[in-house]
Amino acid sequence: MNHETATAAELAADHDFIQWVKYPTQESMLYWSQFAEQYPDKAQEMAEARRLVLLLSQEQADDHSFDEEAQLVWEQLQEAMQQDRDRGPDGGRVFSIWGYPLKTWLSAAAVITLLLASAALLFTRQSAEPVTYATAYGEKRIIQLSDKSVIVLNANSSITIPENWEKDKPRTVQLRGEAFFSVTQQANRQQFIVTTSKGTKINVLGTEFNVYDRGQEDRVVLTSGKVRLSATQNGATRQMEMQPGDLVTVSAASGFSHRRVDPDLYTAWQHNKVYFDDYTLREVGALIEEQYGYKVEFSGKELPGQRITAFLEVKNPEDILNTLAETFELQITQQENTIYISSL
Amino acid sequence: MDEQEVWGRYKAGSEDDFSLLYRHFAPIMLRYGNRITTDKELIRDCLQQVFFSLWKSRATVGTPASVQHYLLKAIRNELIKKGKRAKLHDELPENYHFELEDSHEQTMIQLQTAEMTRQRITELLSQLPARQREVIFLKYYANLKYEEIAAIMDIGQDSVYKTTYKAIARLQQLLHNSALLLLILFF
Repeated sequence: MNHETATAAELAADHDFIQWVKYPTQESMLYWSQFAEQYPDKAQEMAEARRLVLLLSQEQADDHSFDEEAQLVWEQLQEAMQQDRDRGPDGGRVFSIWGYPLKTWLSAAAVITLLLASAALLFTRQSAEPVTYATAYGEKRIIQLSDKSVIVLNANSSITIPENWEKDKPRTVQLRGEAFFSVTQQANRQQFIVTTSKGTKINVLGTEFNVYDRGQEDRVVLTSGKVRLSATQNGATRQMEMQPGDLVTVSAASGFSHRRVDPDLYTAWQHNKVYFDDYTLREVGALIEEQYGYKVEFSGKELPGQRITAFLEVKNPEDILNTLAETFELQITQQENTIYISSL
Repeated sequence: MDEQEVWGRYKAGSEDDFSLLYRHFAPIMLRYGNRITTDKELIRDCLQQVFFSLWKSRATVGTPASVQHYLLKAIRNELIKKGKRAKLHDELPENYHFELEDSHEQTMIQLQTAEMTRQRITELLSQLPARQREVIFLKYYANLKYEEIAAIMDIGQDSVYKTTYKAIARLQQLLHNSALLLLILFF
């Protein structure tokens, strides 16, 4: 296809264009940014084509019913395989799942949680370039790496992973935004290093932890295992070892600051829950901006400094806004992409 | 993780790798089935049948170039084989047009929140003819190449492209009418 003469619809149907929108690589980003520079009059078509691709890719991403259904069928399949084994090589009939007694159902329910965590795993792709995975506003993604480590990427975030890790060098990934890591321990105690956009390095053996790289500071919460943080500020590198339950913030202004927390609260976003830990409304607004792509404007001087502590189930930004409106008696209106918040 | 390696170990009889294949591919197969028929029980039975057969024939089955491609085609064939024709989504006539029941202004009011916009778009997508929806799923959700879609659906590559293009053009026209395109950026 000749990209220079393509309409928005043609671009949106073009395989290379779709790959760039959905799974950008360094190579495709280079190609399309050069293209945009060279053909500035194509900007409108490109923007519209991009929106069309995102729209067409839309599935009910937060609809876990398929994962649950997959689990139910799996239980059933296991039964069928077992009966087949008992019966010998000639057996093998498929039973409908719905005729099963309650007990089977309960045991199925118990395994669902385990499966959900792994059902959306992606095979890491085979290519020579480093691969970048990105999430849109309001989207989450689970990525399994070749070493069986798992990364859960929160909304509006991206992670870059090299294609191949050498056996005797640290495994390194670059994060922008927020992600939860479950890192496998390798036999040769190969290190795993997460680098944030602000240059903080999180050095890991085998462990689970959450990294938040937005706004002014990096925030690392350790669920289990052991990590070593290092950050270079004003030319000096500082290091710190973390224990499970530690929350450490790293900022240019105040360096490391440490406190003890319940890590579950900080990783709850994976399950569509959000924990406001003595947040100001300004911070809540920033979260809505980062994760859902809105602009949030407060009126009045005191309002943005008001504080809230809450643990909410959140499917969309309205769930947060409704709670704020009730707690602080606010009027919340929306015009196009901007949310205006004022006192009643 | 290398899909070919997992497949190789499953063929050698590893239940762990068989389970890995299932966990990885079953959700997308269910989603795909859902685009083809509304009969959920049929989809579940077919999914189970595909994997049951896969397990039984592990020693003799070949090694596909793309496992996802192979499994999507397998569930499609199974659905068509088992499906009672009536329950498969009826193909809509080519000249079918769905109408926006609201005026432009009402639509805008309706679209005040992102969630409503999302529902609206899902609704619009669900109103496209069945074949267009199937192609869009394979192209944009399963991220397959045109030639792969052609092989799964047993139609020409050219016809896959035309169907995709038609679906896009129709949505585009509709979105321009309803000003939705402006809003979809925001979720």
